[in-house]
Amino acid sequence: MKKREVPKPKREKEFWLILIFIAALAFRLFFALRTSGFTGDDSYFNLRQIESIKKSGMPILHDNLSYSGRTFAFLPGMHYLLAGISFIFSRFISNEILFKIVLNFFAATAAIIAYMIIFELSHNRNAGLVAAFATAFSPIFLNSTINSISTFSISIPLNLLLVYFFIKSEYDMRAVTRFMAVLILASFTDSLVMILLIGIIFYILMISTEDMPESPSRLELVIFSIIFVFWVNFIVFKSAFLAHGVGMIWRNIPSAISSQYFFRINIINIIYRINVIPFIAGIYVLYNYTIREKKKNIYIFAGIIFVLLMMLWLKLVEFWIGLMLISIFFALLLGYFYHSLSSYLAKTKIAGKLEGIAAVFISLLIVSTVASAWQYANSASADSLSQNQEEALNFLAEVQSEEAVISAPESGMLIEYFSKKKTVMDSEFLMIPNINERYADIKTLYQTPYETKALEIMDKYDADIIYLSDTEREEFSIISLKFVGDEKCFELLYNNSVMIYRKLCRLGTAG
Amino acid sequence: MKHSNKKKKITKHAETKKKRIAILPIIYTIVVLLFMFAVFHAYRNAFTGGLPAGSEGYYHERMAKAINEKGILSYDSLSFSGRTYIFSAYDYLLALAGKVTGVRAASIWIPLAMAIISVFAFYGIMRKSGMKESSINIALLILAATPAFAYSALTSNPQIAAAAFLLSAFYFYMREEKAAVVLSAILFGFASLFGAAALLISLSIAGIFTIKHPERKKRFSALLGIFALMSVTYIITIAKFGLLPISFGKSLSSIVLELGALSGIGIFELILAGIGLLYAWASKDRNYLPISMTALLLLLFLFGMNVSVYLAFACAFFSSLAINFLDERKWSLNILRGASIILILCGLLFSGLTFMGRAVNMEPDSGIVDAFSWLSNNYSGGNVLSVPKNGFYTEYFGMKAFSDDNFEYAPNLEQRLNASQQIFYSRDLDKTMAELAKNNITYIVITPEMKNGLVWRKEQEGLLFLLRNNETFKNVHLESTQAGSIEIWNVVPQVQTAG
Repeated sequence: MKKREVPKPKREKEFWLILIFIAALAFRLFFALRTSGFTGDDSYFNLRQIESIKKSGMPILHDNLSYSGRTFAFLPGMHYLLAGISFIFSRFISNEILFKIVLNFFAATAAIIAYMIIFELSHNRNAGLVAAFATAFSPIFLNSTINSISTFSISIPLNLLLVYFFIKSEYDMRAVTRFMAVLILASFTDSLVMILLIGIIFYILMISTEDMPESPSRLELVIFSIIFVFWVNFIVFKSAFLAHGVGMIWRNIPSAISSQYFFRINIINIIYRINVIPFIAGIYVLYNYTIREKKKNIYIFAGIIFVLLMMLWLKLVEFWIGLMLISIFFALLLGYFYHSLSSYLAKTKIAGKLEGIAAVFISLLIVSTVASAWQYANSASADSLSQNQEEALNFLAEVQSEEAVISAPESGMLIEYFSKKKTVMDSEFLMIPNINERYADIKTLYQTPYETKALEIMDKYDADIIYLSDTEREEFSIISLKFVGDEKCFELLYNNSVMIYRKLCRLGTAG
Repeated sequence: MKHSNKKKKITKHAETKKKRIAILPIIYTIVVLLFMFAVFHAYRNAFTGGLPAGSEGYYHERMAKAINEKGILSYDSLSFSGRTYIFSAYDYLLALAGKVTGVRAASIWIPLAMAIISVFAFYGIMRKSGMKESSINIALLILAATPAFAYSALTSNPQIAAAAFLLSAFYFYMREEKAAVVLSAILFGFASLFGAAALLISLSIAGIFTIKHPERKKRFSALLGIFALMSVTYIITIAKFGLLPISFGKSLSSIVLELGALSGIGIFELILAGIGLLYAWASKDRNYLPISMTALLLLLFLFGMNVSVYLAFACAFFSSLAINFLDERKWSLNILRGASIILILCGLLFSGLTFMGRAVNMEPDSGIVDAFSWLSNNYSGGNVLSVPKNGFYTEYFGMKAFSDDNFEYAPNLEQRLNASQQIFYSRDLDKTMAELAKNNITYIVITPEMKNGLVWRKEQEGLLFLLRNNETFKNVHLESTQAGSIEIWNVVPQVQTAG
C-alpha cells in the first residue's frame, strides 16, 4: 500500500478548529440547558432504556407498559454508553444535565471530523475550517440533537469517522483497522450506517463506470462491512422483519400519519432547509469533480448523496433523517468548494484580494448558517417538555389505576416514563399488530361526540384514563372532548391546559 | 533386517496415527451432537418433566405402540375421526426398537442414533469423493451446528432416519466391494420406504453418480428394480387415493431459522452455502453431484416437500467450501481475513445458540399434556377441535381429533379445514352450531398460542365472542401455563324442538 505524505495542520489552524468546536458546544448547551426536559418522546424512551440498563444491566425488551405489553427491537449501543457514564457521574450531576452535556459534546465532535475529512481531501486548512463550521451549525442536525437523547448525536460523528477512515484506507493500513473498530461501534448505535454503506456501494459502481477501479483492499473492506452490518441488523430486528417483511423500512407507522414521517420531497424544500450556499457549493463540487475533473474521493460523496436523494424520493427514509444527512454532506462539500474556489482565485488577477474575498465568503456563511441554526435550535428548545405537561404527568403517576391510558402516539412514551402507566399507543410502532385499526380507534375516541362510542373503544383496549394535551389537540384537530359531559361516566381528574379524565362506567352488555 | 523391521514399524505407526487424525473430526462432531442432546434433554427434564419435544413425535409414538399391539396397521380410528393408515417405515422402525427399550425411549434415542450414522456416512462420502481433509472437518462441524440437522436429531421424525439410510446406502454404492454392493441395495430399499422424497432423492443420487461412473450401470439397473419394488406402496396409495395436491411456493420463513423455521437453516449458513455453490460451480465437473442434488432438493422444497434435513447436508458441504475458499484466497488485507473468519464463526455459533434457545422451549409443555390428559379422563366421545398441530396430542391421549397436521391423504381434508375456519371465525351462532353438530365436535381446545395470532388476533374475534354464550358452550377446564391458560370447552348439544 502506497503511503501518502499528508501535511500536518498548523497550530494556528488547530486553534480555530478548537474554537469552532467550543463555539458549537457552547451554542448547543445554551439552548439545551436553558430548558428542563428533553425534546421529543423518543428521548424518554431512550431514557427509560438507559435507566433499565443502569438498574439491571439489561434494556427493556419486553415491556408491560407500552401498548399494555409488547416487545422492543433496537440497537442499544448509545444506551449502554450513557448508562455507563451515568453510573460514574450521576452522583455529581443530574442525569438530565449529564446527558445533555455528553450528547452535545459527541454531536459537536462532528465538526472536528468534518475538518479532518476535508483537510484529508484538499490539504487546505481553511477549507477544513469552513466544513467544520458548516457541519457544526448544520440546522437540521442541531434541531434533531440539541435537546434530545438521540442516537444521531453519536451515530453521525461515527459515520463521518467511517467516511474519513474509508478515504484514508486507500493508502494507510491503520485506517482499515480503525474503520473496522468504528464500524462495530456504529453498527450497534444506529442503522444509519447501512445508508452510508449503500452509498459507498454506489460510489464503487460509479467509479467502475468511469474506469477508475477500486483497490481490492477497499472492496474487501466494503464487502466485509456490508455483511457485518447486515448480520447485526438482521439479528436485532429479525422479529420485526418476520412481522413486517420489507415493510419494516416504514416502521409499521399507521398509514394515517405516515405522511408526517415520509413525505414527498421537492428540491425547493430541500434547498430551503439545508440553506442555499451549501447547496449551490455542493452541486458545483459534485459536477466539477465527477463530470469534469473526476476526483475519485468526491465520488464517495456523490454516491452517498445520490442514495439519500433516491431514498427520500422513494420514501425509504424518513424525511428529517434524510435531510439531516444531506445537509451534513453538503456542509462537507461546502468546505471543498472553498478549497476549489480559493485555488482557482489564486491563479487569477485578483489573487491578491484572496483574503478579502475569503472574509466576505466566511461572513456570508456565518450569517446565513448561524441565523438558520439559531432558528432551528430555538425551535428544538421550545418543543421540549413543558412545565405544565410534566406536572400533569407527575399527577398521573399518583392516580391509582391498573388499566391503560389513551393518548396520541407522541404522548405515549412520556406517560410511560413519568407516570409508569400502561398506554394504548406510543410512537414505537414496530411489531404492533393492527396498528391502523388502533390509531383509527384512538382518533375516533378523541373526535367522537358519543359517549357510548368512547366507552366501547376504551373497553376494547382496557383503558380507563384519557390524556388530553396540546399534542392530542393538534394531532386530532380538536379543542376538547365532546363526550365528557356526563360526570357520572367521566371524571375530570386534572385540568391545567393538560386535561386528564377517568372513565367511571362501562358499556353494558346485552342480556 | 533390523533396519527394515524398524522401518515397517515406523510406517505402521504413521498410518495408525494418520487414521486416528482422520477420524478426529467425526469424534468432534459426535461430541458436539451429544453435548447438544444432553443439554436439550437436561433442560426438558428440568422444566417440562422430560416430555419429548415436537407434536409429530407423539403421532409416531402412538402408531409404533399400536403396531406393537396389533401388528400391521391399516386403519387409524383417531386421526381425522378415522382414516386409512398410510404406511410409514419410521413407525415400524420405532416399534421394533420399542420392543427393546420401550417406544417412548426409542423416540428419543433412535433420532440421535440415525444422526450419528448419517454423520459417519456423510464423512465416508466426502472422503471417497476426494474432498480435502480441512473441508471435511469444517463440513462435519457445520453440520452438527445446523439447526435443521440438530432438530432432526433431537425430535422424533422420519426424515433423519431416511437421511441415515440414504447416505449410508450411497456410501456403499460408491465402494467397489461385493458386500458393499449388496448392502447399498438393501439400504436404498429401506431408504425408499421413508417417503416419496427419500425415494426420489435415492434414485437421483444413484442415477447421477452412475452417469459419471458408467461402470456401475449394471449395479444401477439392479437398484432400479429395487426402487420399482419399493415404489409399489406409493403406487397403491396413489391408485387408491389419487395424487397428492402440490403446494407451490413455500416461503422463506419455512427454511430460514431466523425467520421462524425452527427446523430450518441459519441465514449465515445459507449465505455461506451460496458463496460455496458459486465457488463449486467454477469446477462443476468435479462437483456435479452436490450441485445437481442441491438443485433437486430446492425443486422438491418448492413443491412443498420436507427436505430440510437433506438441505442441511448440502449447506454444510457448500459452507465448508466457502470457508476454505475464504481462508485460502489471497487477501489484500490480512486483518480482514481474520475478521471475516471470526465473523463467520460468530454467525454460525449464533444460529446454533438461537436454535437451542428456541428448541428447549418447544411444545409440548406440561400444561398442554396436563390439559389433554384431563380431557381424556373426562372424554365422553365425539371429535375434539383445535388447530391441526394439537391434533396429535388429542390422538395420543386416545381421543378423536377433528384434524391434525398429517394432511397426506386425509379424508375430506378441504371440507374439514373449511369447517374449522367457519367455526373459528364466524360470529353467527346458528351457523357455528350447525357446523359443530354436522362434524360431531363435542370439545374445543383453545391454547394461548391460538389467541396470540395463530388463529385470532383480537379478543372476542369469531368463536371467542360466541363462547360467551354459556347455554351453548361450557368451559369445563382451565389449565394454567406460562404463556397463558389452555381452555377446554364442551359443546352443549342443542335439543331439536318439534317444528
